[in-house]
Amino acid sequence: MNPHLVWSKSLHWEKYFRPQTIHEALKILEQFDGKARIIAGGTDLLIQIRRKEIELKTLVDISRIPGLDEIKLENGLIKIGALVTHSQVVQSPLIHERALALCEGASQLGSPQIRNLGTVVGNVVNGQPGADTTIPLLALNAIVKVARKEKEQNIPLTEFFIDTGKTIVDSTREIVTEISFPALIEGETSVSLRLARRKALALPILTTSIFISADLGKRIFNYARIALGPVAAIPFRAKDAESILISAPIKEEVIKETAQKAAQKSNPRNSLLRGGEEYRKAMVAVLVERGIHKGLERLEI
Amino acid sequence: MEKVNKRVLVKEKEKSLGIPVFFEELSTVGKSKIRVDAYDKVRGKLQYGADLECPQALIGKVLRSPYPHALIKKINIKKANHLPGVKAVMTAEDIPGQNGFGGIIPDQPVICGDKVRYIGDGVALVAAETEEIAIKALKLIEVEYEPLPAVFSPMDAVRPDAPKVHENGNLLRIAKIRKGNIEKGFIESDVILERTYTVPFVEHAYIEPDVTLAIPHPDGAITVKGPMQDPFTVRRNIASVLGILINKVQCVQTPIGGGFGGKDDSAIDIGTRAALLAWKTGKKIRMEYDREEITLSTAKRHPMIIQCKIGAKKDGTFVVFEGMIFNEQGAYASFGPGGRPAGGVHIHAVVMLPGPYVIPNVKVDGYLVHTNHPYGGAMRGFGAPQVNFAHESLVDELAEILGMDPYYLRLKNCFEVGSETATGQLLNQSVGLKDSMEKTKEAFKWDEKKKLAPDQKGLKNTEKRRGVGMAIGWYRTSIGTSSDGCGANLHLQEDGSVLLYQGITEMGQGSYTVLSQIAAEALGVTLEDVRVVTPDTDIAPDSGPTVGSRSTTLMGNAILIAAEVIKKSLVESASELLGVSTDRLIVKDRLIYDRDNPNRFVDLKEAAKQSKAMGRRMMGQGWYTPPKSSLDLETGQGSPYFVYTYCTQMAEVEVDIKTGEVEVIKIIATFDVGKAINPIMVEGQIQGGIVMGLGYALMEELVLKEGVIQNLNLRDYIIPTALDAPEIIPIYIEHTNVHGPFGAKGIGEMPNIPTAPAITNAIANAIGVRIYDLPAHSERVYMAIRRRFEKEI
Amino acid sequence: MAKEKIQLEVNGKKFNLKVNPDELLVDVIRNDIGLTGTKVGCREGECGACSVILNGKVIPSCLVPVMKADGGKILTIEGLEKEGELHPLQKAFVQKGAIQCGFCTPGMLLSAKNLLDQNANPTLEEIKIAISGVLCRCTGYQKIIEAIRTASEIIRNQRV
Repeated sequence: MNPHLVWSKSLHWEKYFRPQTIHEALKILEQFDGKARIIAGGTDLLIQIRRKEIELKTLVDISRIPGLDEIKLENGLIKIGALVTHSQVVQSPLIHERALALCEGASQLGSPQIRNLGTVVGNVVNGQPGADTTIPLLALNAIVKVARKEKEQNIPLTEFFIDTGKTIVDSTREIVTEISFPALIEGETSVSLRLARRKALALPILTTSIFISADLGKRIFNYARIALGPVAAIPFRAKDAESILISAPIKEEVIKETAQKAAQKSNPRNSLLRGGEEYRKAMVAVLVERGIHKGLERLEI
Repeated sequence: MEKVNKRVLVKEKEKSLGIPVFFEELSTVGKSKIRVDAYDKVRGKLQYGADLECPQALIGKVLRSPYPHALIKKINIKKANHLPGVKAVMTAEDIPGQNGFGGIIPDQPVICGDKVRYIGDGVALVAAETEEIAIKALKLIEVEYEPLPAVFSPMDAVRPDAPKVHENGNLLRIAKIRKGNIEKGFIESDVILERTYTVPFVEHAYIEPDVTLAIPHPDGAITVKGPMQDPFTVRRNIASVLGILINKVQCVQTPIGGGFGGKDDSAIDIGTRAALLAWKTGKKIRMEYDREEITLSTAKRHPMIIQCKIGAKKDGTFVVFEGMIFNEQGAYASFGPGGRPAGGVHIHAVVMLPGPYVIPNVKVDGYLVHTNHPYGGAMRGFGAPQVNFAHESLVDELAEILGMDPYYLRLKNCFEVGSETATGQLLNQSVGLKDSMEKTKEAFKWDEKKKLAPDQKGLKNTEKRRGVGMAIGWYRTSIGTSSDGCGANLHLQEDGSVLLYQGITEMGQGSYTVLSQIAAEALGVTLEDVRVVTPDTDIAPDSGPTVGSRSTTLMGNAILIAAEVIKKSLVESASELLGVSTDRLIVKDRLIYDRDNPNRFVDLKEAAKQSKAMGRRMMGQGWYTPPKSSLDLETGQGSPYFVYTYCTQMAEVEVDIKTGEVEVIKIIATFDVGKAINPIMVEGQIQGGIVMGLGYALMEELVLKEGVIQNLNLRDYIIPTALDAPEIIPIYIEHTNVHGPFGAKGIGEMPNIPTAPAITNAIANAIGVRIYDLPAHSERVYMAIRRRFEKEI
Repeated sequence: MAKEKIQLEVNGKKFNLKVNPDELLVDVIRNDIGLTGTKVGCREGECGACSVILNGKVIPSCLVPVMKADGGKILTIEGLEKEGELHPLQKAFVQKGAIQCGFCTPGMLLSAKNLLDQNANPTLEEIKIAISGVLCRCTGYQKIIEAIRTASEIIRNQRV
């Protein structure tokens, strides 16, 4: 919190770089040795600077680097570049068709203004446990591509988060250039559901994304991924609940049991602003159950 | 040029003005005219306070207390003063006049000297060349606090051992109603229902932040410009703080980007502080409050704990009502206590608590209590939304117990012409309450929809349940103080154009347009001929504050009186030009004509020229005081407000029984406004107020923990967005107010008053669960469902 | 702090400016260029009063560093009218009573313009979503939605 109870208009950074390549951007970061930071959309970063949660003197704006604003389908993988905005995702026919949960998640975030400016990658890197694109990407089994010095590394999203607001990426030294995940195929579906205090411009009480692979002929689940937030310090995969669905028959009791298990394993905080622990846990069960049903509807089961 | 063929009959009616008020056919009043500031606003040309250029103005900032209750042991401003670019650092000892400001009681220190009473209380002021330097200076001021035990609830604050927020103790006011005999009443009752309701602090959340410009003059005078709902009270406070004569202070209103009562208080706060810095530095000062600062430090809606008990016969006749209000004032008085006899939020809440119902036995006790929280001040409805939630929820639940449709229970007991209120006031005119109920019921299809509402004995297997609910309300026009009154000056020019000098402010509600319409109608000119001069205390007669839904009625009357003075002179001139006696002349639509022979006319312009040529009076002043307010301190008996507006609201909601989410599908509401001076604007007020009421019902609350506000910004203090607002069908009816211009009474505040209980009553209808505490957000609704239907979910 | 040179095209006019590198687009538009129609309400992207259209997309200008916007094309409320002739949206707002205090009006108009530029025949839901990022405390949104609907009809008919 702000101990002086004073807010200022100026955000006080001194240098603002606009590199033309990732290589250039990394060099500048190295040069400033931890004192400079990447900005893409800036919708989270500027607020953090204003609230004095971060002190920053140098910004490295990657929004002019060509090639980072594309959504591609390559070898069955959907690849989302670092500069892709939430609006682009919402309006992308590819993502609508092959990763609907991500569309749904992105469309519920903020407002049209925020969605036009903010980036999916930025939302993930911000590391909040209930982030509206992180949760679907977790359910979609995404992989993060991080550019460091001379190398690039691929890190599964499940290993990406360390603590609330903290990821394994050091934004003063590294750049996430892309997030990718397998595009959904026949027999697969995805859903995102959300609970919030109002219908726009609201941080979630609870967000869930569910990926389901099912055998329509045999009427069984093959497997599923259930992502939830904020029910822990980091974005959460309800693995115990997921395991119930492995090769399980598509039956009401199975779905209910899965939902209950997901709730059981969730550990949401008591938030004065966005819901108490008891309520949020109860809602995990409700949303997971609804999510699975909706997914099955989408598969026309 | 249009010739008037029809006779226009002027009906004379007996009223407090003693002047003709009605025309059968109105030219401007009653028409949905385009608002006078529409084009400037839609083009982005209108200059609000923050848009005013003020080169070389110093920036002013306030250092605020981080403690809810603490003594100030020491304050060291040396380092701050020495910072280059700092032009002034002020502490309490630097104040030349009175160290106190406030809407009614100046009990809030402009700069705290000995102690602080809430987080955000002002401890020092800084003026510097740039904002950056001012902020650096604030951080260099060293304050040594000695924290004191703090008190955060009115129930705790009234205990004898509670920490004292002010020397005189925490109980600021007591207000009562004593009517009839309640013990007897309860004995006579067949059914008694007792409930406790709580409502939280809420925030005005006007989108335009507070801002002010203070410009000192060499002769010791000072001009202060900014968005202010009452330039006259700001002026009085500044004069007292600077220790100068009132006539040395000029307050000029800039267009207000939303007020809702908030800029009644906040303008005094920011105005006196900026004025002090201007006085000290001799330079222009610009001060702006950030959004967080506004939420932190300015006035809120009073939270209340309301206990009420109602007794009725089994046929539904109300017999007795008993109520107790713990009204949390917070750190400072603001508009909680008010001017005598019936001013202030507290007394108003007490008077309104029994609801618009005829009840022979009434006892109400209201306690207004200080705490170390931000303070309650003027906010749209002024105590009524809080108590309306209580009485409309209570009556609705009573209907359930009696097995009666809540509509008919209300209809049986509510006010009509001839009813006597809980304060013993006889409502002898303009009571459109029953009419508003009938009109709403019809438009809403209440009977049909009520039948479709599901069986409440147990929740069935559907996940979404629909329900309908209603609430009725009443609201005063005027502030109920003996000082309530206002003046207007009208100046007719020789080309027929008119200047209107008055002090009612425009904050979006449309006052400039409506008052211009009244002036135009009265003077026989068109709306385009009238120009409102920006409210400026140097120029406008005292108009009092733009609050209490009093603007159209009181200022409208003042304008009519002013207009009569000019009309007399115009008619004399026209009589000369036409050779027709003055008693046969009608002034209308830019013409003055013989009522018996409309083809004999003269242009109003010609008559105006003639008046000027003959040295006749072209300027009129009107002063209007409403019928006297009365209210006995001990018994709460009297006629506190001279007329009331009434409304009925019906809401349809859909509740998700698994999550507790409530969606409002539709609201239909009918308002008795006396006379709709500008119908499309009345609709706009209704729709906007209802959405504000929806926010109160479902999502708004200031969350406090140990005196610390958890939701300072608009991300976390949430108000309805376009996706949260339902379809709202506004209906107005006109039950003439004889004390109002063209029959009008107030509209500004009524819309957001019964919305919350209409919605919570609909929730009860949908799921069989009552909500007793606002807001009814999804968690609260869910928990209520669970408590009641534990096994079924 | 050394000033940086930037160029912005605002409402069709090019501006060459010297700005501090930490300035925000909203402040540059209001103070350096002098177009005060764009408002500041919260500085956190929550109220929408600072909305402008940047390179074809409506964004919250209080969250955009001016250095990021350098070289961009911006439309503010002042740029809606053409040679004194109001845009159909502006006319509709006036006619339909969609303006009260007027502070959210610029944000509403630009949000609506961005919608109609991409979708000539929006549904009620699409209109609500388009303006969901601008908070209005006065109107209850109803008349704003009506005005946008009316304007969309007029614009469609004009194009025919």
